[in-house]
Amino acid sequence: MGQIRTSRSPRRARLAAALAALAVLAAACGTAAGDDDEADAIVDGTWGVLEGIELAGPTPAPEFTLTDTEGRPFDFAAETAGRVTFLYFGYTFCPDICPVHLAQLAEVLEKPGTPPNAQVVFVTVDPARDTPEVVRDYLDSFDVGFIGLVGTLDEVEAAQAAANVPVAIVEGDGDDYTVGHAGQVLAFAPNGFGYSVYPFGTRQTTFAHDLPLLAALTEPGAIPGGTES
Amino acid sequence: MRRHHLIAALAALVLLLAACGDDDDTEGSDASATTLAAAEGAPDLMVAAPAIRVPAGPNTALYLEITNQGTVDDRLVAVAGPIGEEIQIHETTTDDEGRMSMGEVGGGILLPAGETVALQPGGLHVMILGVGELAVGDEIDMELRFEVSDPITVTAPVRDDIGSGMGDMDGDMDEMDGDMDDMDDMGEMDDGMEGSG
Repeated sequence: MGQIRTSRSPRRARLAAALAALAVLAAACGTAAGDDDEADAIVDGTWGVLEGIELAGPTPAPEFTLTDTEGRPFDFAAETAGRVTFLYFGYTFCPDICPVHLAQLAEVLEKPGTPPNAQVVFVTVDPARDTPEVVRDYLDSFDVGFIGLVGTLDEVEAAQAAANVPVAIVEGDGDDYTVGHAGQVLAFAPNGFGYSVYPFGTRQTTFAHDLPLLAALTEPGAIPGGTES
Repeated sequence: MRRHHLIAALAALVLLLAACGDDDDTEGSDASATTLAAAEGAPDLMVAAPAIRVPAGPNTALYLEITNQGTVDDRLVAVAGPIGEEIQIHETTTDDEGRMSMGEVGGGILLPAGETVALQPGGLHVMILGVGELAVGDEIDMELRFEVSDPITVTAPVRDDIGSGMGDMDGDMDEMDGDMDDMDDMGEMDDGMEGSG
């Protein structure tokens, strides 16, 4: 008996240690694992509700006007009011990261129960090669409902600056140049404010989790998961 | 007694880690894994999970994982195939401001002995320029050429779901700046990203 008792205690200790290890691991593999790695300018956990990277506070949608793939002017702040809008700056020659974001968003928006007023706006950062037709064709591979915007180089650079993302830079020369561009997807709620961003590597489940929370932010001053602030 | 506990705990950890990478799981494609005969003092390469993204624009990418089970380093130096005007080995990197860009990897990709290097979205990839039309379900034979080992041909299915679940990219993106240490890290990342590891 005594022997059994003495062995129980270390056994429990070992169990406790194993459980603690499991807990740490389980935490590490949670869906929000990327959150604490993120950029310096962003204070995450502002509301502790969104799985994307929460901004330090509600941020107004950027003011810029570009041209959509049908040739119509698109005033971003005005046209996105009343909808959840995912904004992404990319280019059609991009084979690696742009298709990941766009395919993820297409799948999320196709899911049953998705708020119907969600949309994706893709702004080319390579207007020299990305004509409206090229952009339309590219986006149609993911979702015919995605909005594509083009403009002059000055215009798309101004749009990036307005959206507070690093302005894209051309690398290399000749026909084979590539473009370094912002890797994150920006999200805006129907009330015209952004609350979160989604860096490259975001899980599809993170978008799916946050979409209804963003869709609920219809009033000025609304905060994610809560009431008026 | 103690050993049993340790084994149980380890088993639990292994299970958990396996589950961790699993939630984006789609179909695997390990069937095309290829192994070269192991030889004393030589690289011994195994290629797994080759996949080509169905092109949306003029270019696309081939992803796969290469495990060097041998005792000597090797290098992936070129890739050839029946598609594309040009095929290059690329890496996507992120600068200090969060700008992501890609560039050709000079000298190819180091395949250290005993390690797995993953070519996956947001990191190393084989860029296929001017790829033309491909459809989901097409299977393309791609030849991988190495510094030391003989070429390996893999059959890569064309898929539209590569990286679409994403995840397990929980390392600091800022660290993925393209030096060899980071490439090693990439190789050690959980291979569940595409659920096809």
